[in-house]
Amino acid sequence: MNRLTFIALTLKRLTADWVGLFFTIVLPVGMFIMFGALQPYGEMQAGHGNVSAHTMVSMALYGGATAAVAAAGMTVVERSSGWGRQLALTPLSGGDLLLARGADILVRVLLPVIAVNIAGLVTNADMPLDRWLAAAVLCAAAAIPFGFFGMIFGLLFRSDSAVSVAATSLVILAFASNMFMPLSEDLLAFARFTPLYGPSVLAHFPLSEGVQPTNGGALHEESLGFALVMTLVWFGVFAGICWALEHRQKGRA
Amino acid sequence: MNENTPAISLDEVHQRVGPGGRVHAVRGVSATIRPGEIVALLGPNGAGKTTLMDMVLGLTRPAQGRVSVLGQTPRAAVRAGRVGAELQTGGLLPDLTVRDTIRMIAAAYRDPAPVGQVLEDAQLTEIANRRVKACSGGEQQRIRFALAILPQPDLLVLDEPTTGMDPSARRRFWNAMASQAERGRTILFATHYLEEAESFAERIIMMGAGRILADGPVDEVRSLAQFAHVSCRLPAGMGADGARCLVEALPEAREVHVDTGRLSLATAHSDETARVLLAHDGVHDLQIRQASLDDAFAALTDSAAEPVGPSSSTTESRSAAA
Repeated sequence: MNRLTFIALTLKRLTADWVGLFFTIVLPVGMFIMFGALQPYGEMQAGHGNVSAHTMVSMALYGGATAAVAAAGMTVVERSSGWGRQLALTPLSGGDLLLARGADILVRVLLPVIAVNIAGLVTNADMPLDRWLAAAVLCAAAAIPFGFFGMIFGLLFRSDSAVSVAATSLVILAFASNMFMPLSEDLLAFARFTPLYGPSVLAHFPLSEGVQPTNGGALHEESLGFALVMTLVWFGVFAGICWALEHRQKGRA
Repeated sequence: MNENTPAISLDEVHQRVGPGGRVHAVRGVSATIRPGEIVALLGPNGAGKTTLMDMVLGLTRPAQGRVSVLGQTPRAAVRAGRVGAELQTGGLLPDLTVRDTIRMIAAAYRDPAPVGQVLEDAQLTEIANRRVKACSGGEQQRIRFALAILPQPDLLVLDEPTTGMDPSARRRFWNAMASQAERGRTILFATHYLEEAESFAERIIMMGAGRILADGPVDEVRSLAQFAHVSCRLPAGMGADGARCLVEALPEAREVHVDTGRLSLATAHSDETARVLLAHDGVHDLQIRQASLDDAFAALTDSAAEPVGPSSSTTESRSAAA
């Protein structure tokens, strides 16, 4: 048995999906350049860096989370397709498959996160290096559990297009989380409880230490504890729904 | 493993499928398949063939009873790379090339056959660099066959391997299978094509409604139909009444047809029938044909269709036999 070959061939499939890959990378990079680097306020100070750096972190998290939703959702759809049965006829264990799929999801999440950060580096994003690295790692770490969100759609609808819809719908959650544009303080009172809000506060924490811009110009300061709890609660909910759906499927078989 | 260890041993196996296990798909199946045997599994849709194969491959556990493969549990035999399978539902990844598909599954085994040789055996060498989605249905079928022979298995399990193939592709497939059989592999295959079972298998297991209806060498199973088709030309000018009188004189004739002066019927007493017919002036060109596997299949599955649930109706078994 050659696990490395299996993983390598799993990753080689990335190159076959270059259209999908192009969009998961180019879309967040393009949005960063349009709404961050090219904006007149981009170089204004924000926390420990500038506004452009804030937008960069937002887009890296958004890009990473979208990729996680798509990658994990596809994995579920693929497993329920005949390919899953084909693999079940081999000596590969559940752990081997999990390893290969984990590697695949990790690479797909890292690509847009790294791409957006490089775009920030060559344009005008600015923040101290240690905080920059911490933010990038947090983006990837907070994005990966959104895979559960994608798995829900994969398990429910078992189709590639449902998973694409789920990935696209993240844009709504991103707006609702105060990530794309400052919301009014009234809206923010609700926005604090949406799924992407906690991860966004966490990813921006090295830069802004919880300080959120609002529509009126006033600043809203979020505590690390609240962001952490909200993040864990949402990931718990997503994972729990996946578990329940998975359990339902097993009962049926 | 010694030579007496059966390739497959089924002991009073039951299985329930569907939501809540509502369908009792396999109802007490017992059979032993010896190493090197080539066995065809026949039966209409809903007979339980696929459910049975799933258990032999360790994809599902029996609700009751015991399945062992090469003296091990099915999953252990699969893990040891001793079982190769081609399933109807076995899917492929459309964006992989043919060669990468085979390399990827090869990476799952400890001691697979060389990829080049498998491509050759499955007649895929020329399209090795093509993506799966660009392959025709028959070509994809050959890829799945390649995946089945990849582990150099002791046991090959194939679920309707030639569905969707044209006659020449089917012939090439069975030639490839013959070379697998020559290597001493045990082969269990399900099929709807009776002539495939008749020409390739040594033994036939006929299933209906989750039970084994017949199990034995091909000739023996065929003879279970216990009748022959008899036909002859009637004397010119014999009317419908005359024909009816003639038939009434015959012992237990069934399926009687008269078509443009030719009488045909089925009977369990072909010798007696022939004697009566030929004794009649003007009857000529008499032919007797032994019952085919088709007939045995129809006879057995029809009689099994009565106590069965809605999944296996009589019309279904007829169309499967046709």
